[in-house]
Amino acid sequence: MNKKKYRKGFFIILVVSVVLLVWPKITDLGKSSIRSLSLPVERVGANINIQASETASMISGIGSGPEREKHLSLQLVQAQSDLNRLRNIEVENVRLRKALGFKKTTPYSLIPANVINRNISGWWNTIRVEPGANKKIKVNHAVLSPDGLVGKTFQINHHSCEVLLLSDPAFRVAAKLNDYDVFGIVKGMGNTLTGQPLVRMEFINKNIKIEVGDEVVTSGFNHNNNFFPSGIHIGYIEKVYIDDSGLFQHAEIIPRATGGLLDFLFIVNEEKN
Amino acid sequence: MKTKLLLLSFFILAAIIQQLSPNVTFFGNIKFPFFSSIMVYACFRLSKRNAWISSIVSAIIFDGLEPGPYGPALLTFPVITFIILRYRNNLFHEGIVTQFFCGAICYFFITLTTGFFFLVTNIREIDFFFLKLIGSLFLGSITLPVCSYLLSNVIPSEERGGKR
Repeated sequence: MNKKKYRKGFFIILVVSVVLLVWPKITDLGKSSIRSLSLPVERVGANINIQASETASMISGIGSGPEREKHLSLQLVQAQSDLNRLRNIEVENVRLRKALGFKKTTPYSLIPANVINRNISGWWNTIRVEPGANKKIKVNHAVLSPDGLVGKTFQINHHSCEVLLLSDPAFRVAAKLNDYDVFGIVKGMGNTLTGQPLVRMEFINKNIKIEVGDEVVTSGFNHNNNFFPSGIHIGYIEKVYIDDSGLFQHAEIIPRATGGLLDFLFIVNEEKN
Repeated sequence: MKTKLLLLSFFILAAIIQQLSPNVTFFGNIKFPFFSSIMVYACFRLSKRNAWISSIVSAIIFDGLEPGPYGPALLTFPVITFIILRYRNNLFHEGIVTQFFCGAICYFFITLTTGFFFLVTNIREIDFFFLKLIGSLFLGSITLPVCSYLLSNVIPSEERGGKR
C-alpha cells in the first residue's frame, strides 16, 4: 500500500514538472509569485550586506574621508564642465538634425534601481534589482551604472526584475568603435577563473585597423524591442584577432562597468512623446 | 507544523545567503550549496511525507529564484529525495563521513543534471563544466556536514520518533 502511494506521488510530481516546463505562463506566474514573496527578506538581506560592507570599509579607511571628499569634488567640477559643453553640443546637434530633416532620436529617461540580490546557483550572470513592472520597466532595456553599460533587463516581475549582465554568454548588443564608426556585436563570454568578466566584440570589418585601447559604445541599432540608446560606454579593446574564416575580426573587451551588490544602477526607459 | 515552518524559514534564509554569497570563481563560478544541503538534511531526518514536501517546496523556490525555466531543481531534487528515502535506513547518516560523501554526491548530481538540462534544452552555453563538477564535489562535501550540524540542534529528527 505504502509503495503504491509512493509511486503515485512520484508520478504526480513528474507530471507537474513536465507541465511546468512546457507552459511558460505558469512558469512566469510561479517565478513572479516566489520573487514577490521573497522580496521583503531579500531587501533586508541586501541592506544588512550593504551596512556590513560600509562599516568594514569605514573601519579600513579611517582618515581617508577628507581626501575622498576632495577627489569627489574635483570629479564633480569636471563632470559639470563636461555637462555644460555637451549641452551646447546637443543643442547644436538638434538644430543641425532639424535642418537636415533627420528622424528625431528617441528620448529616454533613467529609472534608479537598487541591487537586491545575485543569482542563486552561479550558472547565470544575473543580478536582481528593484523596481519591476510597477515602475513600467520593460524587457530588454539597457541597465547602466555611472561607468557605462552593465546589462539588460531580462525577466520582469511586479516589484523586481532580473538583469542579465554584460558578461553572460546569453548577452548580445549592437556596438561600434567610437573613433571609427565601425560596427559589430558585443557578446558576453562568461567569467575567467579569477572572476574577471569576459566580453567580446564580433563581426568587425577586417579591413579596419583597430588599436588596443579603442573605446566601444552601443550603436543604437535595436531590434526585438531592445532599447539601447547609442553612445553608451561598454569598454575598451584589449586584444584583436582575425576570425578563423578570415572574413571578420573579433576583439576582446575590458568592460568598464560591472554590477555588484553595492551598486546603484539605472534602467533606461523609453519616453513617449 | 512547527517543523515545517522552521524548515521553510531555513530554506528562505539559505536562499538569501546563497544568493548574497560570492561565486567560487576557482570552481567555474558555482556557489556553496546551502539550499540543497538543507533539502538533503530534511530527506535524511524527517518523515517520508515531510521529506517529500520539503523536496518539492525547495525545488519550486530554487527554480523560482533562477532566471531560466522551471526544471533543473524540479527534476533533480525529487530524484535525490527518492534515492535518499530508499537507502537512508542503510546509512549511518549522522556520521560526518557519510555526510561528507552524501553532500559531495548530491551536489555533483545537481550540477551534472543542471548542465545536462542546459545542454539538452540549449538555453545557455556552459563554461568550465568539468571544473564545476569537481567544485561541486568539494563544496558539497563541506556544506552538508556544516548545515547538518547547525540544523540538528534546531530541527529534531522525525524518522526515529523524534530522537536526535
